[in-house]
Amino acid sequence: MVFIYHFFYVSKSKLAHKATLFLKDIESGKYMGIVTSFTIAEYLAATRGLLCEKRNKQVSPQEVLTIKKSLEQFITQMGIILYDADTLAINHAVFAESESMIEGDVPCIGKYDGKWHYLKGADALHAAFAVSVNAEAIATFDDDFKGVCGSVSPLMLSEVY
Amino acid sequence: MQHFYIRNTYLLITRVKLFTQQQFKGTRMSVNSQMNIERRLLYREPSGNSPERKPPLANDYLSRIEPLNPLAVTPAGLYDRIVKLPKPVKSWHPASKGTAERFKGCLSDAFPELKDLSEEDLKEIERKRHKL
Repeated sequence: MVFIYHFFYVSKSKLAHKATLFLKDIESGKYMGIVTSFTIAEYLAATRGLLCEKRNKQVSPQEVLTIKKSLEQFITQMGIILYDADTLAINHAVFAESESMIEGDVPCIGKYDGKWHYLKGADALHAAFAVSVNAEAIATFDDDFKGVCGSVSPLMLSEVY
Repeated sequence: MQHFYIRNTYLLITRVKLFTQQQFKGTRMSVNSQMNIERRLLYREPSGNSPERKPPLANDYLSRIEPLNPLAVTPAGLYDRIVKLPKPVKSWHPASKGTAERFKGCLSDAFPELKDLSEEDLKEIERKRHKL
């Protein structure tokens, strides 16, 4: 979502502003960014969904290519490390790790919405990939990651910035 | 060679006969029982009660010297970080200056219909993602 907030920049949005600040910190070298091909897949799915609903029409393959290319170019120019999720899954027990992530997750009530937040299936996979690449933290706006325990900890961008 | 073999077998049978006769002296044995004992002794068929044990396997690995991997003796965690991580598709390098600013709102430019997006629209995507 960090990429989506930045690419569909809404000047009034606090989250978009925070996403930009975080990406600028990566650019300055404060953080080293790591993504996997699974991140790209999620970005693509979310952007496609947004386009479909807002325009009320299908997204053409050419448009999908444009969406994908924008992120790939951004990753390249930002010096963000990109790992192939399939290769990581071969070398590491990613699915077993995601299962233990869910088991060790501590659900919590959201500060603003008052709803319960807990790690979902796709979130757990992201967390497991983060562990497999020895990442120190998962940068996110998503409160579902708050209860993540283990070698990787959540970097809640809404609180840090 | 063949002759030698036959002769030895003959001698062995004679010995077996003598042995069985001594063992079961005074008891009457049927021909079949005697033949059975002889056959067992001759061909050393394993008994069901005391099956012959196979000789233990020679451990060929004992004398082999394993070369020590220098990476395995590096500080804890370093081995995992260096060796186990696969090669990334794109590796780290310093970012080119102004990239974050250049890409800010790039998709809003590519899709002008989405220029008037609100924060609520963006939050809606996040909510939908939560349903996964």
